[in-house]
Amino acid sequence: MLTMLASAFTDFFAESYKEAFGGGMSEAVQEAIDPELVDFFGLKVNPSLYSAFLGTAVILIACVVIRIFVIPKFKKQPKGLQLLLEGLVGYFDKTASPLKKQASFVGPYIATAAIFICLTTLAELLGIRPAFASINTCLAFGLSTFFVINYCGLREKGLFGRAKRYLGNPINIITDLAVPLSLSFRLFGAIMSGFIIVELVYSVIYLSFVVPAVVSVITTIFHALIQSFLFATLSAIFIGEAVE
Amino acid sequence: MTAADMPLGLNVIEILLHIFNFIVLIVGVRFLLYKPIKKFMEKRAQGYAEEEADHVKKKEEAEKLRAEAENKIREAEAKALKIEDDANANAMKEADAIIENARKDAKELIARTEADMAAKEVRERAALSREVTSLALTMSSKILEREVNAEDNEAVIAPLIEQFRAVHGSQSKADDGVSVKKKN
Repeated sequence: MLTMLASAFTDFFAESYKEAFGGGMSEAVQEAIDPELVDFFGLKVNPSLYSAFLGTAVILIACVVIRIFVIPKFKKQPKGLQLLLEGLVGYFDKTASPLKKQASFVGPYIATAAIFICLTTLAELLGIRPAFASINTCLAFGLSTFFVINYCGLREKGLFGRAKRYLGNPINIITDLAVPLSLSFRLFGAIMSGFIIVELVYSVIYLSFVVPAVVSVITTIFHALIQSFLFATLSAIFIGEAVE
Repeated sequence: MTAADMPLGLNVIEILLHIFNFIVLIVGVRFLLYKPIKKFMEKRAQGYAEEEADHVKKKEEAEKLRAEAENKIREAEAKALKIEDDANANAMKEADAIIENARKDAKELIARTEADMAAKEVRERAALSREVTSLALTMSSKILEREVNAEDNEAVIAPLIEQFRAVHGSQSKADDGVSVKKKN
């Protein structure tokens, strides 16, 4: 019954949009949700994988350049790029600091995740498909955090300590299994919805002036910053719960 | 089921590729960016902590030196006060000694002067006695209008002299008694 209602609503919405703005909507949404798969060493993959590789390459090159040319010139009183880098590292280090022994590993982990999410989402402004507009990327990140949570929990509490958490309260099994799904779907939903909205706006010719300047800022920049911050913070919180 | 058939295009190999990509990125960011920056920040914080500790240590040393200096000043003041008191006491002693000596000298001078005066008086009395004798002799020669020899002279004068001495001696003794009283 509910499925039928939802289907009827979607059809009605699509028909109305088609009548109002022309026939671009369904193609644009279809392209955003289910893009044409590309070839990767004989494997058909989502183009988001290439976006992810590109993002990684850009970040690593930037890291090498910063390591060689910027860090050796660091001064006692930071300003400019040094201030930004120190601010980032200081923030993530502070976020990971309650994790004691695990902080040296978790700090770089959440910092990398945040930088990667932010940059690959902002790449949408250059017309590149966001890496997180694919459920595979989001699941990869959710699962990574799941592994890190359990790795840190086992390292800090041992197998028995970790098992005690589930034996004492079996609901914790569901809670912990929900973490990667919750992280993944939140990320996917936010980034994908923003991407679809921008694609919709661009698909209609008379909405392609001025409107994207506003919509891109709201959907892309805000999402990039908010989702990277959320993912990093939530990962730190979940890992903190595991080692507590 | 192929990748295209899976809901939302789920693909396990793609997920693994993303995880691999993420691991490479984490390692790269950690060793190229995170660690060097953190190391720099820690080194700087350590430098500040050392400077702070050094500052605290120097402040403590300065406080200690100041306390020592204040102690020394207090001791010096106490010493100066003692020296002043000693000097005052010595000066008083010396002044007393000088006054004592002066009194002694004055006493000696008075005694010597009195002795001299007594001797002079004796001499003067003898001279006066001789003069009186001579005068009496001259007077008696005139009265008798004649030359008397030594024996006559002696016979006439000797009782007079004795009488004079008797009278004058009793008077001088009385004078001596008065002078002794004055001395005392």
